[in-house]
Amino acid sequence: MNATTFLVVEDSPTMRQLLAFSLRRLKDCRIIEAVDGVDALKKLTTERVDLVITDINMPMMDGLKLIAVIRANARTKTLPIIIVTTEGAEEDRKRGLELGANAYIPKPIHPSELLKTVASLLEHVRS
Amino acid sequence: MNRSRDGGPRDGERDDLSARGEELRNMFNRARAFTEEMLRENESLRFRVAGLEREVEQAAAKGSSPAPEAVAKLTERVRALERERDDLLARFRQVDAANRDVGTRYEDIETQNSHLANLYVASYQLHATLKFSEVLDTVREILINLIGAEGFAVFWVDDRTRHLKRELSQGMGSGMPEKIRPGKGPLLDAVQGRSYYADPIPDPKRVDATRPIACIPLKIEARVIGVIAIYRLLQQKSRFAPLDFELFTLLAGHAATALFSSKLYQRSEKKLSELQGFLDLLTAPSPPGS
Repeated sequence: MNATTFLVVEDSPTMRQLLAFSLRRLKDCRIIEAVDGVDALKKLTTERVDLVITDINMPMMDGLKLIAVIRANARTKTLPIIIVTTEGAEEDRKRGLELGANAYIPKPIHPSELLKTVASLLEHVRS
Repeated sequence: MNRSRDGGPRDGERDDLSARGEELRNMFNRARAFTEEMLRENESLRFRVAGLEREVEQAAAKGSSPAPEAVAKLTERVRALERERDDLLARFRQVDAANRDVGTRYEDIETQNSHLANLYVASYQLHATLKFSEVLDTVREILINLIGAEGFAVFWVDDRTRHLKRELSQGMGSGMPEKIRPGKGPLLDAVQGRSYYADPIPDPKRVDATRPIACIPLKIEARVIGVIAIYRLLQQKSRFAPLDFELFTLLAGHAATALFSSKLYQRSEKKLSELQGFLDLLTAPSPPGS
């Protein structure tokens, strides 16, 4: 069975490391890191990705634009996306979900909550 | 009725009477056959009733004699089953309690894992660089992403005046002065080495630079070199969690060491380049013609 590949899109090295550290507790997983939306799109063209975890506020291209581009592309339009952000306002959550994100986790994150959400989305995709 | 002259019935009347007599006889015969049939049926039913009464008596007689033993056996069996049920219930309760205990311990371990992950990442990032500005960025990231602070500042303690000099400010707009003289309150407590946490957290709309909701002294051994002051938490966070206090403890030591060593490294790098320039000047060959 192929390893599950996660694309972690986050400009903060601390947060990237924490997300990667948390995800590595899952069996057979591979983590690709991107520092912003543009970097993430580059990685999406060259790598097979199973799930994207993205921040909203990032330089170059923010998370909301990244989600819109992913959903507009035929190859990636069904890719599960989780937003992890400091933006806790209801309208930000709504906007992210309207653009096509599958889940929304406000910071500071609890690794167990992240893993539950990831497992649930992957199960949904595979069923 | 027509009669003959001698008073007897005429021929026609005689035939009629004869037919009616025959009819009556047939009727009588049928009634007799029916009656006989009924009598036979009655007899058969009486036998059946007698048989059933015997059967009932026999059944009653059979039922009464072995009943005490059977009842005793059944009662014993019921008691054994009840004991078995009680044992099973007790074991079920034990297993259920053990399950709950394991579940609670699993949750505790998960929480500890989460805490350790956060602490490991924070510690790793703090010591990943020797550039003062990068260490400050890491402190900023820890405060935003791991603690959930929205408005905060990092101050450096002036050794001579004991005033606080702002090194970093986030989410405070122009309301954060460059220097603060810690009067009474949390900032002075922090300068003197004591942490402060507000509980409950006051209204986030009223932010005062001298009244943070949390104040963490940055200490190297007993010496306070700086202070982290948190003024406001993210909208989705209403109070400090246990992990936050562990992160504050880590920040108090590790951030202090990282900031102090990076500052020393920065100074030493500057002095080294100055000395190098001085040495280069001393050892440089004299320009031709001098």
